Amino acid sequence: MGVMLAVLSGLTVAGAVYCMLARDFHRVGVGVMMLVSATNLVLVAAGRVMGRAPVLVGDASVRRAGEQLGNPLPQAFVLTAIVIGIGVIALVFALVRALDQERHRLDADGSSEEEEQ
Amino acid sequence: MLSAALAVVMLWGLVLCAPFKPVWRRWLVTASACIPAGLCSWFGVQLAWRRELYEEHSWLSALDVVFALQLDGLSGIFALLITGVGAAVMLYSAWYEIPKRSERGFDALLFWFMGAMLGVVLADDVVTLFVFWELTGVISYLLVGFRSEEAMARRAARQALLVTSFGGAAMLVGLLLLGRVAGTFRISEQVLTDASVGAHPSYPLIVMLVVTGAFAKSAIFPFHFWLPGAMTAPTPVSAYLHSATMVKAGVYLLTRLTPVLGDSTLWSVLLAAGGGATLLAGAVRLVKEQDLKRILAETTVMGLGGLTLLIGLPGSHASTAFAVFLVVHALYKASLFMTAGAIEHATHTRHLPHMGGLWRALPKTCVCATIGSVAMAGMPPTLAFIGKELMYKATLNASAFAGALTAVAVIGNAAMVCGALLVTVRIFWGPKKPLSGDIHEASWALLLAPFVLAVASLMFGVFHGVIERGIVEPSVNAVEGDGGSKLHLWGGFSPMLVLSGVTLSLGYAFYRFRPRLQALSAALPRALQPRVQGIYTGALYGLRRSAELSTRVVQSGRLTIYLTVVFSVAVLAMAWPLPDFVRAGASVELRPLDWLAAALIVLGVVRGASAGKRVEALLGAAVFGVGVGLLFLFIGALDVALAQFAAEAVLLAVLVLSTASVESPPVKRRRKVADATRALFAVAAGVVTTSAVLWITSGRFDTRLSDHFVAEVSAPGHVGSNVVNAILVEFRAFDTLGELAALTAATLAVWAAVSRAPRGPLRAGQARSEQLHIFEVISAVALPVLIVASLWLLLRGHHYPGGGFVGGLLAAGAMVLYGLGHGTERVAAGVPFAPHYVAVAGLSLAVIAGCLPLFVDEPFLKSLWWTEYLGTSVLFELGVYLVVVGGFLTVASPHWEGTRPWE
Repeated sequence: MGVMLAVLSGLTVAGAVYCMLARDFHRVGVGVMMLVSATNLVLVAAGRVMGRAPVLVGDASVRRAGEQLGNPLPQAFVLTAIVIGIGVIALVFALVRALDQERHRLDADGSSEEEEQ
Repeated sequence: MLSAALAVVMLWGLVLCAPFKPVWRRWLVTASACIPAGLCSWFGVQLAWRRELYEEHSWLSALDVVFALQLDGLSGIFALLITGVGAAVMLYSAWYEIPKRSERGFDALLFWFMGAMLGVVLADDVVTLFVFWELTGVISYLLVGFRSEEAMARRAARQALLVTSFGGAAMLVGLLLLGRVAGTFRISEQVLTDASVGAHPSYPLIVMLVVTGAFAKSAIFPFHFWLPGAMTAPTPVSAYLHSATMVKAGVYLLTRLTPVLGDSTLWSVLLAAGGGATLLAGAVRLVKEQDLKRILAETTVMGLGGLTLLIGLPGSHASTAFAVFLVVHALYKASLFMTAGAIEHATHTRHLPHMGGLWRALPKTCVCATIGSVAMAGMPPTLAFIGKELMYKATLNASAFAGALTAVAVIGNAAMVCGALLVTVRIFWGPKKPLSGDIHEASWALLLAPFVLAVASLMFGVFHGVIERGIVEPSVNAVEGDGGSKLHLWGGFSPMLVLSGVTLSLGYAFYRFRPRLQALSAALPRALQPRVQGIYTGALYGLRRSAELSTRVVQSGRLTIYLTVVFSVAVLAMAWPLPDFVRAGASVELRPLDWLAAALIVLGVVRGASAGKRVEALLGAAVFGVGVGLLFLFIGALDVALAQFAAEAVLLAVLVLSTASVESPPVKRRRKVADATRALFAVAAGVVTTSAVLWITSGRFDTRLSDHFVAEVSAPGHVGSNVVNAILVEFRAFDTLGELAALTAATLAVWAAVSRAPRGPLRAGQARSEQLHIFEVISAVALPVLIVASLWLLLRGHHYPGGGFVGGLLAAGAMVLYGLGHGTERVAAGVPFAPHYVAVAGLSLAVIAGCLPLFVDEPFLKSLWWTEYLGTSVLFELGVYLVVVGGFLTVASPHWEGTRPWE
């Protein structure tokens, strides 16, 4: 699982960087989405997945025999990260939309639509 | 007493800053001349009675720096000059008309300059000296560029500042080194110390640095070019700074440090070479000049060169000549500058070829100029004649290169004679040239100061005993340790007299044949014409060009470039420690379903990155998000999985519709090279990340914190079973509060940006959400269910998976979907408050929930329970819920086309 998480986060980072270096701002936004999730994966990996049981104790416990509890700390981090992440992503796309409404639509290289033709 | 004198001068400068009516100002400044006059007499008395004063105040004791002042023979002579000429300049400045006289600072600046210059010559500690040194530089910048509306004045002031400050920086290093080597920063102690600085290996470096600073300040070759440029300053400034005081600062420093640093070949060679070169350079430039003030400036440069030369020559003749020259040069040069100002004031021009035969129109000015020029030419019976004879005696007796030095001295002095002739004969006698405008001579009040100074140089020549005993002896004493040579007007027929005669005739020859010499120098090939100033201008130009170039490269304005740089640096920084062999640490075994999640992630990333159309990329991102959510689910992070699914679903629904409703830009040509570089960076970043994660997970892991939290929640008295929720809402509630604040701030920012952005016309795309009937139907049914579900999740969050974050996301998502199906006005009807208010209300509720425990003497944000399902933590969670709902609605609102429902 640790190796899989490492490979997946690397792949996602690669995709995110590829998107963020694109000329279209919309694609940059998609890259931001991927980067946020990649970071979440890294956090989970860093917390070491030692067990798969949900971290509920007492009466609510659903632990089967032989299973270990997961690490609650990275889960707490990632939960807030997701919420803040969607705020950031929505903001980026709001900016993209505003840029689309400009008369001369700009791309990340600073050239406008007219020049492309 | 010394610091009191300094303080008086500085404070009076403040007084002069106050706004006065011009008529009063004139008399006030005239009266102010009494202060330096009084100080001058006081210094003279101290000098005559051979009194030496010391004073010190502790300043930077940790660095061994003391604010120390001293008055001895050498400081005394300079202090006399500064205050004496200062008094004359103040008198002159009172009656001098600067066009922008309304600028109040001028007289104050002159006074402050006087104080700073006094500080330079009175300072005993090198750091104190440096501070005053730079202060004179700054004030002179303000004074030279006083007519700041003229570009030439600004340029000249900047050039003077840059050159002298450059030298000053070198000088500081040299002085600090000297302090280290000698063991003390006090110059008076450095002289006494036994440690021979001359033998120390850093000695040449110290000498080079200090000499650079002194040369830059005193306009010695190769720094001589800034002085003629500074003639754009108002005349009182030229008369004070550029003849008598500031340029003498470097000369002062060299003399002051001669007992410490002198006595070596390096010192003598540097000074003699610099002085000699300056003499020649000034002479050459003098031939070409046509501007009255610049001619005087070149003679000043030559005078400074001569003084430097004399410092370099050992022996009492040289020291005495130095002292004499110092005094007389200040006197006649200041007088001549002031007279030049009077001429300019009368004729409104400084251009020499335009002037001639003015003795009838400007009689008083003519008299002043003539006396001053006689002194400059070094004719008997002025003090300058005595000084010149001594100078020749010194050069003739030099141990090496006597012939060359004497020749250089003769040429320089001859050029001064030429200058003198230009100032008098050319202007006042000779054929009368027609001048535009009427000529009215300056008032006697204006001419009083130069007249007095010029007469002084004459009188001191005749009555030279006063000078000899009162001024020259103490100063030479301070440097050499013995009295100087005697001064006499007539020393019998000697080689010096012959040389004086040669000088006069040569000077006259320069004057007569000036046009021919000018033609000759113009005919010289460009390579031979010295262009030291070109180095300065070239250096400045090169600096500006390289700054422009580097800015254009680094700040290209292209986002792709910036991001490339950021990622490259990050990748390089992470790649650095990775050559260690990486192994994976222990973790759970993989199950088949994990591969499903991984496959979805891979598929989503690949499609999202490589898709051509915008909507396709978003769909790729959606698939990716589902994969991530499943992965969270399979490792047992239930709250996180819920949040991920809720967020992804709604966010992507909004974005896809928003994207599809706007016309996509045309698909641009793919550029192969650019794509390849992108791929390269991406792959590099990915590889480095994977290695970094493997490296992280291969290390030991400390489980103490996680175990602690689990144990806390498992404790018998604890209400609640969900550890993740407990961490967020109980143990680390303060952090969560901070995140709520951040979310609220972002919400407000988005609202502010959205409400102010002008809404241009949208290029309509294919999809319009109202046409999606399926949305209409489903969202009508789903909305109430989802709202109830979100509340249920909120309330059970403490014991089972759920909580404020998840509930808020679900509720907000439901409302957004309803808005997409039925139009945003319906949503606004249902939620009467603008969403950002809801967010702020949530934040306030969270804070209140945290404050409740304070009433029962418990700490802020402590979790208290009334029943199993009701407690302060639930209120806190409700606050979280509201913040998330409000925030999400606000950030989604820019994507709703057309309407702004809450306005």
